[in-house]
Amino acid sequence: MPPQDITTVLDLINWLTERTEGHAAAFSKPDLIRAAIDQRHVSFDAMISNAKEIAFFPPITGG
Amino acid sequence: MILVQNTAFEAGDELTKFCERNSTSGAITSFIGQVRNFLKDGQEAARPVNSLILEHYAGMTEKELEAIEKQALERWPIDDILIIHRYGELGPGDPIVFVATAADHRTDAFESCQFLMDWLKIKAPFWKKEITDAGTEWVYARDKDNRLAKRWEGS
Repeated sequence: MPPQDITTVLDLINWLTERTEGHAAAFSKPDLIRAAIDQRHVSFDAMISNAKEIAFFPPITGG
Repeated sequence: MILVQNTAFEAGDELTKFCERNSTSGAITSFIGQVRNFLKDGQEAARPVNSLILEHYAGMTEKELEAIEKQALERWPIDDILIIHRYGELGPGDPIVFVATAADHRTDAFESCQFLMDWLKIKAPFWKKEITDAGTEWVYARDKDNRLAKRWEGS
């Protein structure tokens, strides 16, 4: 679990980036990362306090 | 109705059933997105695509499509909506997505169908991977899709 002062999606990205080289590589291009909280799209300033599920993924290409 | 499925579907059959189900609607519009049989990057020569693998974020996909459907129903007087989206491995020419709308009049049917496709392209979490003789490539998202979706805002 991230520490208490990690409150937004962006905080979480920055915190995860510091953890391993793999995380750093995954988050190396933030403008290509989309985030979802509990399966709804959110921006990086969204609060994560009540989140049950947080997802990061690249821009989508369906349809 | 939203269907996110691994199994193939026949777009013509789906349209026939949709028309029968909505026999009191005066206007029906449908869109079919299908797998291209070639891959073209800018000036490079086109390469044949052997197959396409579609991954999705199960759960979120259905939620997003339901949200898009709800928005369309609030915005246009439409009688019915059908969205079918495949995932898994597809071959060239296979239908990926099918959207149909039924309304009293053509403008509402046309507009809502286009709105659904434009929003689906930027909201529904699907990712395409193309398999060519040269290897496997994730398909890049296009800025154009964002612009197309934005045209529905504020009106």
